Amino acid sequence: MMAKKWLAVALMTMVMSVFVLAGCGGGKVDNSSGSTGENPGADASLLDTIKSRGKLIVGVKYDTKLFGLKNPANNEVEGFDVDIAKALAKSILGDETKIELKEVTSKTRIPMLDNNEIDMIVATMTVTEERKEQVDFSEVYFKAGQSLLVKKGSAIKGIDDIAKGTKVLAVKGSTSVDNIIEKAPDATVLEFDNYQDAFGALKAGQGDVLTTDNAILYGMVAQDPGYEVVGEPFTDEPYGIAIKKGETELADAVNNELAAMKESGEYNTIYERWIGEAPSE
Amino acid sequence: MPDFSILIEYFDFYIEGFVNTIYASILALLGSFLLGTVIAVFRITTVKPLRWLGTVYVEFIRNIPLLLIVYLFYLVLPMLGITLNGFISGTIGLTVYTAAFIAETIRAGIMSVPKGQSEAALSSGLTYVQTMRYVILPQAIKIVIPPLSNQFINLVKNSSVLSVIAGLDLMYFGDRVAGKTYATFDTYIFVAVFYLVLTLPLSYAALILERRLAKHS
Amino acid sequence: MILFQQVEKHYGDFHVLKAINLQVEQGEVVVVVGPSGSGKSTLLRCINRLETISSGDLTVNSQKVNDKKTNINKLRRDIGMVFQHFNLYPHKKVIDNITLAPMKVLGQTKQEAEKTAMYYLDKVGIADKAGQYPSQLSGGQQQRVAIARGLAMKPQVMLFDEPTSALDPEMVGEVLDVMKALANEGMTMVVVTHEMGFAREVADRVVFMDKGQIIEEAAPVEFFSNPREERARLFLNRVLNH
Repeated sequence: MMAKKWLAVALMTMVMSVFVLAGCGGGKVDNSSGSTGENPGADASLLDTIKSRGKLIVGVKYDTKLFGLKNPANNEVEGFDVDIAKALAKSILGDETKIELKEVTSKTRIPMLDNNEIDMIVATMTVTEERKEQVDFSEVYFKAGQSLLVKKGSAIKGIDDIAKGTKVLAVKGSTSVDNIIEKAPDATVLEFDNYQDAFGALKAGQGDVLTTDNAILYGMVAQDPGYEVVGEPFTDEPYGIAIKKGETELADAVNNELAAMKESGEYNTIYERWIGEAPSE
Repeated sequence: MPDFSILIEYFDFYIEGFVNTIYASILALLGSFLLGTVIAVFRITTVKPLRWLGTVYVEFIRNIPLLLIVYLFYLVLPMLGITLNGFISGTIGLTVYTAAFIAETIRAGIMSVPKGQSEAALSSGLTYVQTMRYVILPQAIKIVIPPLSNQFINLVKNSSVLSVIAGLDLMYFGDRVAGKTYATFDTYIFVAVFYLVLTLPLSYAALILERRLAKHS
Repeated sequence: MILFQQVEKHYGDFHVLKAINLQVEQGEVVVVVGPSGSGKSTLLRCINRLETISSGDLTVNSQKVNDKKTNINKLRRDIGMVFQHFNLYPHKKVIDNITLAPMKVLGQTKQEAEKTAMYYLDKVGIADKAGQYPSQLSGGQQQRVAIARGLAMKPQVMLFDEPTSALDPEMVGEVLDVMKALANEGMTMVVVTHEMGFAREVADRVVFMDKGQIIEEAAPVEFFSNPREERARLFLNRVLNH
């Protein structure tokens, strides 16, 4: 215990000295997030900026089947999230092609939003209290739940079959890791950079079960029918669209459009196109 | 100033990753040094099949990204019925990859030892292996210490490749901490410091060794 | 003891050795002379297979040097060699330069090998340098260490490949003196050299080579006073008259 403390102190000293040296160079690092909503350009809200720019910049995933996946045949990114983003572009700018998609991962999406690289995140992002401190969320646009994917014929039929030593594969920086540790504390959790790597590891037999949102798991099954989703979803994980804190105008615009889409039936059309069934409500 | 509460809160994560990175580095360092030396000797021997084997090894491995080699051991080997976990397959991949560079470094060192040295040794009745071991390699080592220490420092840094195959190394835990805290910048600053704790002494040790060996030449 | 029969050697298109016939008896000192590039060093280096021959027969102690069945390492134990550039091991002390082969090849203990090494170092007159590194010694001293290193294996024959060519003139004498003493003790020696004085004084037989061939083979008195061949005469005129 003493040694640990001592090591921590030594490391702190090192880091501080690095910063003192860096300070001589005049570099100031600003990594503050969440606390401020103002833009450098004074009063202009993000919504105004988007309108004057004439283009909506949206962070989506490029590696997630059904939600945001780059189609190698035509290099287009396609999926549920992408279609939602296009509908938002249409409602804000009047044209669904006035959109620029940027690839985000679970790890990069919040820093990119903070750095104004993207206007919003539509990337299978679960609404959590912790994240609400960092970003503002729209109304829920997709109700997901965490589930399990196994090779067909596996002895694991549900969350209760995960025992000590069961290797559970997940993606870094996602809430599914915290959830599985909570529900199955004895499991060995191995984390990967993205779903492809995690699924690759499952196929290679490097793990017994892959866990994440059911929608994503169904996408994997569509890709390789040798695998199946087992058991009931064990969490309630609503996806929300993340917007930089304080940009209420933009958030309102997004929420209005989501409501309008549900009203018009456009939302259901998009949902069925990608998920293969109608939304449960 | 980075947020030290991250370091304190996730100290166990950092330490577990740090320790695994040390293990992976030491194993890969020893392994790649041995393997690299053998390949280097293959490359210069007069036995044609070994020479060919050495050349193929170096040219293949050196020209493939490390990440693919690691994937080979982690994802492809299981198809042949051999499943190695992320740490082991990552360390093996790192060893195999680094060995190609070490082989080339050592080969260059061996080639720079004058031919008369091996002639003197062979003509006194020493075998080829003895000549290598007692006469050529000890001289070659001095020449290759600086480039070799660079390879070893690269190896420590390259060990971060374990993070993509759940190798439980420092970078892997760094990613996990970043995923939990969302403070990407602060998290990785500490990761960088842990890497420096490994690499700085290594380059300093190389410098000392270099000076000591330079004494008698 | 050493027997060349119709030995040929090619380096690609270059014909280095042509129809070499030569015999060296036990206890003989044979000195090989000739212009640069005449193939005399190559001839010497064939004897312990530092060079391979293209055709013909070469035997040492009745063993075929180029036969695959011949254990070349074993054969080389009995053939000491001294090089133009000494080729001492720079990373080893003088004493360790000498004890390496006796320990690793003959399996002597460190103690035995060091005792032998000191005996020969004393013999070549530099026992006091045993603990130094080669780089701390003069050229003449280094070459004497190299001779001691060869002798420590108790070889049946010693080969000398231009042992004084790389030395400053004032150091040539000390090396030649050691070689003379060795010859007087009855060591079988094959010496490639430009030192005509040494050849005249010490050789039992002088072999003159030119363009890969042995042109003349004679006792030194005969060779130096009355060479039979025109090419030998021209060579001697060139090296002796300036």
